[in-house]
Amino acid sequence: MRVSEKIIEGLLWLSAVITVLVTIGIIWVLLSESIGFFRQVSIVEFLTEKEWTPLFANKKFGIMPLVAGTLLTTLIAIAVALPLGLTIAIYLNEYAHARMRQIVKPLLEVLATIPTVVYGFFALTVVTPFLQQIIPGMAGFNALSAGIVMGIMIIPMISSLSEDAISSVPRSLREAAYGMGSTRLQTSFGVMVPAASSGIIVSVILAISRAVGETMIVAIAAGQQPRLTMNPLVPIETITTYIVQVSMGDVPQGSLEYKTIFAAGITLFIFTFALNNLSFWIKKKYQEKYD
Amino acid sequence: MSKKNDKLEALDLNAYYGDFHALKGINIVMEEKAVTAFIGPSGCGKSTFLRTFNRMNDYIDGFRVDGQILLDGRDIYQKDVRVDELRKEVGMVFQKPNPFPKSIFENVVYGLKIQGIKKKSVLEEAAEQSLRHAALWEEVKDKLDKSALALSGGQQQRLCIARALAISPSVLLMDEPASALDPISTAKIEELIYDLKNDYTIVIVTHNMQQAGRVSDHTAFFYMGELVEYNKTKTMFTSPKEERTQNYITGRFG
Amino acid sequence: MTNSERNRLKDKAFQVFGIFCTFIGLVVLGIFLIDIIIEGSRRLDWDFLTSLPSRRASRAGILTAWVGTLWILVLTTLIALPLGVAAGLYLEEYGRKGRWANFLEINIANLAGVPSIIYGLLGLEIFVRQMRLGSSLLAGALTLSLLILPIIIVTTREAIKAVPRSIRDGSYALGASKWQTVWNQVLPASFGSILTGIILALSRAVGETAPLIVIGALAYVPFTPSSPLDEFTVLPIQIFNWTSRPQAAFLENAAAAIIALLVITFLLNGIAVYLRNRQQRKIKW
Repeated sequence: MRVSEKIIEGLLWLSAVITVLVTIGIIWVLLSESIGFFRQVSIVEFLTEKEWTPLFANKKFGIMPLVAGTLLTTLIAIAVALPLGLTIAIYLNEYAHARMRQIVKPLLEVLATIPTVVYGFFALTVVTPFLQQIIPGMAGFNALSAGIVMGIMIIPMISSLSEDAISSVPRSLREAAYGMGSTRLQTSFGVMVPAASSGIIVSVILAISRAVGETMIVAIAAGQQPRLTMNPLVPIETITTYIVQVSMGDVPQGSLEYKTIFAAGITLFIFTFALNNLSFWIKKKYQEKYD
Repeated sequence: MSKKNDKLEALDLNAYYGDFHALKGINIVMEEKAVTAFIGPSGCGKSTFLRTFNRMNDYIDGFRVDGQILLDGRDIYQKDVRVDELRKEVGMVFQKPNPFPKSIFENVVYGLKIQGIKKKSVLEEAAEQSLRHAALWEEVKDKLDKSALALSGGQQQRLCIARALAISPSVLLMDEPASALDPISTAKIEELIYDLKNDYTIVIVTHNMQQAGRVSDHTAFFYMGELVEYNKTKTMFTSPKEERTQNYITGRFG
Repeated sequence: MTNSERNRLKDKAFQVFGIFCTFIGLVVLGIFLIDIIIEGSRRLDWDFLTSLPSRRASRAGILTAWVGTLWILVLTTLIALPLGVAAGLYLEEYGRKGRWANFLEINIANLAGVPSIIYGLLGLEIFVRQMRLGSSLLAGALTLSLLILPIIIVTTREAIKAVPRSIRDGSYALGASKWQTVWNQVLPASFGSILTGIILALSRAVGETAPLIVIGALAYVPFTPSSPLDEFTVLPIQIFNWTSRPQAAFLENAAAAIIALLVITFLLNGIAVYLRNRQQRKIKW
């Protein structure tokens, strides 16, 4: 009996340790393959070269165009999701009736459950044709529609995390503001939003991290042309799309082209890792302040 | 009346939560088939002390004891003592009724089932006997397969007593067993304690001085982790030796 | 206009703006679903569900895709459920508080934030190459299991945390061991919430495309898989493939396949919401 207890505890421990092995596995896989890459391509070229053409005859290995594409689509997505998400959070918190909140919140959550490949289809077949009517000369693949649709996808992320942050502001603060005759708008922006700012910042950082790692929307709607540009109307390529592009073709294992996806992968991993840990750090600091 | 055997003993018992010294050099001897009440203000260590007799404190991070707790003359904090065996001998009833979210029957036979007893007739017999012993049988005999959570608070507490009795312990620890109940249910529990003392050694922690007076043979008064006074309940309530005891039972603090 | 009138006007204006923002997302969602249904329903029939893929849009079906999706769903459940629940149990019931527990916690939070495509790279190297599973269902399910593991662990922990201390005490006091207490009391009492979390995690796995593309799942698989070591495709990959083709007929196919995928996703989410509501209506301790 005692022995079986120990065995069970050992198995449970092992399951928990697997999560550590996953992390080690990710870092090991990304590092070992990209070390092979950086033996052949200097890190200076990787960071300063302005073109990324590993699949062409004239190979150039500058990651910047992919980073630019990733940042551009992320920027557009946040530009859509932050104002909308934050307004929704404030509206649901200060203005909407409880009943309305009960109905709207789960409906918004539906946005987060739709598979991203479906959003990609939507961006390509609905949003792009619509935008082309307004902006003549816009390319069929572009960062703008992909970014907008990605923004819609992450609205519920920002709105629900921000709403949690706002509603956890002590009641007394809000009552103090109303007590001095503030309107709901003044209370929201003058008192609630500043008091909940760290929680809102955390939600935005997590949303950025999500957008940076998003793959299918950009792979379908933003194009596959690495380009160092901030023009949202032309085809670009993100880090994630490049990995998909290579995976779809038949690049022989062990070749330099094969290793490029791990070099791209580690770049992506560093970005999201930094963003996630920044959010943990802010969250921890914030909790200490209020406890 | 013949002299009863010593059932439970504490020798120079100290207990700590991390740096906090919760029990300070306790020495006490409790005789079998008697009711001993632990009284004292909140935080005086009486519940902590109660929980050392079945080692329920083992699960609390940073908790440790030194000194000895003897059950029938055997130190229960020795390395070779198996906690599960100890708890078959020393049953416990908690402050708030805590029936498992299962049927009444499953609650009563839980202790037997985890010992590996599967035979239905054995379980059924044990269930009836324990429920009768806990004065609950008549009320629940027709709904043994109903959820225990549907019972009233007082019934739930008697179910928890039946559950403890089912594994036939010789000691019953009760941690303020009636503090969450209404007066009528409390009276029933007290009657029950009075009956159970014929077969079990009972230790009860209580906040309620009248209750201690009504149900117990001996009373121990704890204050700030110390055992201040221990005596026959009658003697203690009529002529306490210590001033602190007197202050407490006359209601000057606590 | 007085100052206070101006303030009240601004307040009203923001209210209107708030309603607008709240509904714009929902309106977009509505337009999108209607568009998909109109475009896809023309194509969605029994033949479409039971036909193998084809180079001709009008003959192509999603049989291999949805069968592959179901395979992935079952295999991922079999792998991720025991692993995730066991890890959650360890962290909540067994692990002592301290540096190690802290480290595990931060590690899991970090894993939850790793982009899914990175899990694809992990699966490609470990499962497809090192373990020589090839681009099989098993490799795909293992990859997705690791992806949803953090979600399952976090929900398991929360569900276990909600089981009151008194239930555990009651069990220990009757002589039960730690595992007996966990198995007989803690797990049954938290099972509903754990299940809800697992179903939500699975609905996430069903929609994943990128990691499966990276491990080499193909869009064109001419047969339905019959063992975990067979090659496979899934609905999202089929949708991606059709969406990437220039011909309008394939877009119609994509829309029809999206309807099938959304039915599965919404069904899973619906079950989860139902379970959660039922759970909340149960007697509370």
